[in-house]
Amino acid sequence: MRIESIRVESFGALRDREIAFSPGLNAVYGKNESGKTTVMEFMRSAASPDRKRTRYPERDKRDAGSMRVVMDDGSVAEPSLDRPMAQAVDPATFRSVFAMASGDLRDSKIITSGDVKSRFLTVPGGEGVPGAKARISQEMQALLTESRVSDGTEIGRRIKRRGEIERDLAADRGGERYDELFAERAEAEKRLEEARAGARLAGERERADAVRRSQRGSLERIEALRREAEALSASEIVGEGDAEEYARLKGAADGRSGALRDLAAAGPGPAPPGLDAAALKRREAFIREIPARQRAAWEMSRRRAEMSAAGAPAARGRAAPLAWVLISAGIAALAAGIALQSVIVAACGAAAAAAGAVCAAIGLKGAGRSPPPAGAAEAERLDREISAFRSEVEAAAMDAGLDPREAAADPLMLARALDSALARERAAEARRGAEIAERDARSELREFLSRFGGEERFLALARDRKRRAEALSAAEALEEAVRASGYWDLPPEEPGAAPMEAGAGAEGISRRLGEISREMEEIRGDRRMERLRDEKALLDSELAALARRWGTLSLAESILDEACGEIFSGVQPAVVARADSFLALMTGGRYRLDSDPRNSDVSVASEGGSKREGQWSSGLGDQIMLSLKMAVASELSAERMPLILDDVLLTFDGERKRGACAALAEMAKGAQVLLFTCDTETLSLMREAGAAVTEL
Amino acid sequence: MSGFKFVHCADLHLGGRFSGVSSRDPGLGERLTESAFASFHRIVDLAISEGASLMVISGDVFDESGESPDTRYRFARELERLGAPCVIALGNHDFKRSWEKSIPYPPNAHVFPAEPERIELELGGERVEVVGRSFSSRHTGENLAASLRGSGGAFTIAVVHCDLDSAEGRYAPCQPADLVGKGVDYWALGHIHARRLVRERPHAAYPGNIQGRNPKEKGEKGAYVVEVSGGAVAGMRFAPTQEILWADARVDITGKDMGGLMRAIRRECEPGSIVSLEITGKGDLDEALRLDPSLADRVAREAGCIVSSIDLRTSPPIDLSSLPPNGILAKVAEAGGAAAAMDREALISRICRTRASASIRGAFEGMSDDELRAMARDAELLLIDRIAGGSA
Repeated sequence: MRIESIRVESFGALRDREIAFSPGLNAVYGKNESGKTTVMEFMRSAASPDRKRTRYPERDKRDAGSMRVVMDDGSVAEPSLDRPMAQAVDPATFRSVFAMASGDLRDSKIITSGDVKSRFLTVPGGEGVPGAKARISQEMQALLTESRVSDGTEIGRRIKRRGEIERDLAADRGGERYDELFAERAEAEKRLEEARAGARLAGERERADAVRRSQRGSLERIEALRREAEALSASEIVGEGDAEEYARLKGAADGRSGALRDLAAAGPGPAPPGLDAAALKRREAFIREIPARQRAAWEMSRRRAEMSAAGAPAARGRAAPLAWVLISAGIAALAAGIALQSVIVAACGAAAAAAGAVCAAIGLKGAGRSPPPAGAAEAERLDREISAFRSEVEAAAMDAGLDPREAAADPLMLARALDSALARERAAEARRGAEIAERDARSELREFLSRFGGEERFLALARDRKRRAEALSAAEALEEAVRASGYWDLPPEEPGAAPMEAGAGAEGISRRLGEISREMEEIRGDRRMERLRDEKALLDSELAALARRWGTLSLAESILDEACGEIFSGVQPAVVARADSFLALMTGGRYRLDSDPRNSDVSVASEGGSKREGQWSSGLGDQIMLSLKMAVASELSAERMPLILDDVLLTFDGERKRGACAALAEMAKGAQVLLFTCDTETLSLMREAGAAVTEL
Repeated sequence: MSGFKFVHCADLHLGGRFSGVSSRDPGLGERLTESAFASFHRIVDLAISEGASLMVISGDVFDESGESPDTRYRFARELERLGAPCVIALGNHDFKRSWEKSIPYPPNAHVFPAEPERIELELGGERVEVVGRSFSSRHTGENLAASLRGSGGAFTIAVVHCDLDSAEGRYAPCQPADLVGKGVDYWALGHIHARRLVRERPHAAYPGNIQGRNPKEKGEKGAYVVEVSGGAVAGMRFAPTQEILWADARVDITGKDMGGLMRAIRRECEPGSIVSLEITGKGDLDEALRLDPSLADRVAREAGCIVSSIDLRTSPPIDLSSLPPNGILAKVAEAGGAAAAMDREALISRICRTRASASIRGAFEGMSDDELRAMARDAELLLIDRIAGGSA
């Protein structure tokens, strides 16, 4: 298809213009404001329906005009603004590829994406490559950025977290702390034991001291008793039975002495002075007859008295009876006196008293009566008889040294004197025996005591012995009591910690032990590190999985690179080859198209390396895009479409303009090319390239 | 006849962490950490209920990365609960902690020193000798097993952490021949996480670890209960004690839509387990699966299990063998094949082209050749899906 001519009735500032074009290369020259762009827009609007209202010039209801178009098959069409041509390509593609102003030239999207690219610019399947590559790259970046580990990525974040955990775990001194606590606990337990032992010891000491204090008196007493016993040790000479022996001997001696004293006390009184006991004994026979003779005398006296009463001499008679009364009274008084002195002779006394009473009676009778005068001889004889008896009594008394008158008055006195003498004699004999026995006993006692140095000494020793035994016994009893108090098993007395202090120390240690146990339990029960380890394990697993994922992607990227590299060097699509040749023409061979299918953007290769879009100068960019679009345009539709360009060479330098014109001339061999320009240099270059020139 | 039972376990890795599971469930980490404790708790239960007179632990009680005071304390309490004697040979993961003395083991536990040691026990009326030796550092090239021998005359158990069938290496390498003619009746081995009865008379066994911790440690995990009678092994029984099962599942996308695929996955996966999923087949789903980064989460949600990994072995519906020869897909297939054939260092360098990627290079260096090859194939198929999908 080629545009033969256009006829503008009204479009923008244009009115009633007709322009004809040559089939090949055309240059349409017009100065600025000459309506060049309006003509271009008119052609685009008639050639492809476009309802966009933003075009320049603004569409107007009055706009009218048509084109005369000759199709490849020779048929003619006349599309108009009202009825534009139906094109095989969409209006955007048409404007971007076939009918371009300089702005459209730089629209690269149309050829780097979608249909155009997959159809013309890449190998089979290559259209999926940039997307795949981009997805892979994107996914890799999300996992791990290239140059540094960023915690904004999945892997980086986990590596960072793992690092934190590792630091926390490395900083964890739980085990060491536990060990310290364990050691401290052992130490504290030891100290507690010591403190308790100390307290126990102190308590024991205190108790011991109390015992000691309470027993000190006892001990001193024991000591004193022992000293006392020691001092009395001389008394040990006194043997076990000595005291009894002494008592026996002493008793015996004293008994003898007592008996002797008794004898002395009980014996008859001392012989009256002058008494001749032997004389009395010599007359004993007489003396024993006295009672009977006295009774006989009494009988004679009675008879005499009776005779006196009968007339017998009274003188003498009177005197005699008076004497007998006196004798009788004397005997009675004597008898009473004897009776008081001794019970032994009481009976005699009684008898004497009785006799005295009888005598008194006799005497009283004799005195009261006068002998009978009858029987004087008898009276005489009686007087004689009585007198003889009296003489005999008086003689015996005289002989014995007794008072004869007293004896005459009381003849029984002789008998009593005899009895007394005899009794004295017996008593003296008994005393002699007792004296001998006493002497023997005393002698035995003395002999016994002589071993001890006399009785006094013995008694002292015996007393000492007793005291010593008592002292020892008391000491022993006390010692037994002290022993029972445990005194001798008490710990030694030594200065130590005060019990209160030691107890307070133990309390402190106990408290610390409690704290230690609690902290040890806390360390054991601290799940923080455990959970960190769990988290780290999970992170490691995740990292392994993510690393594998990343590695797979990285390898995929690398495999893709390799595959694409081979494609780039070995397989090049026809369009790319054609564009490449256009670009070579435009750049004098300095740049070649890089058709690597990985490139979503178009890249060019030069000696200086590959340049992607964005790295190009505006001129180079325009050259690349023009080349690509020229190549694409020739392949895009079955109908060979005209290429309409509005001042697309403005950024080209002179050399490149020349190359571009050569390329356009090359292009024009297969399709109509219309280049609108206001640039005279371009115009002349186009002219040189063989373009038909139309001036507006 | 006199006799007794003992329980043999190894590779407890208490406090050790799992790997290979990415999950949005924040409680999963704790559950997995606790799973090893739960399994050991069951082993102690087992020893008690079986009336075992002895427990033998062949190393790697702990995991060096996760041994905290609490971990050690909990282990000590379990030993206390066990009550019966427990002998332990340390492994390469049990390295010394400055504070370990502060958490002592109960008196029924005995840890072998770095030099061979022999202890004698009277178990069930039988005289028993236990010889053992511990790792003293993280690595040792010394053949620890070879240095152990019984004195004869008693049933003898040797306890050692070692790498059997390894000629050299850093984990006490040893050979099967080292286990024979040593007067040992039962070699209680540890280190290899896969359960394995190495030999009988003398017996040698790896009970495996007690709880799977990554997608490779699949299936039941637990301990051996060994019965000894009349001075010889009379029977051995494996008792599973794992808390969480790691499993495999395989589904085919051919002829399925997403709903059909999810139903198939649900059928294959046991709820609550951790599944390593292999998806095969050819179809439209290939692209959807390959390009969906949250596939694992979606599967986990749908199937009610935890997905540790998804091995996509699917192909796109296009015929890769008849691509246009000058087309990009053919070139991609060609380049992908070439990448898969590269040696690993070159391939890793090719993957880690950017500066920042140095931070994750270790992830690739830790992969096996097969894993790297699978990655190359994934990359190729990803590209094909992306390029073809982009053009469709």
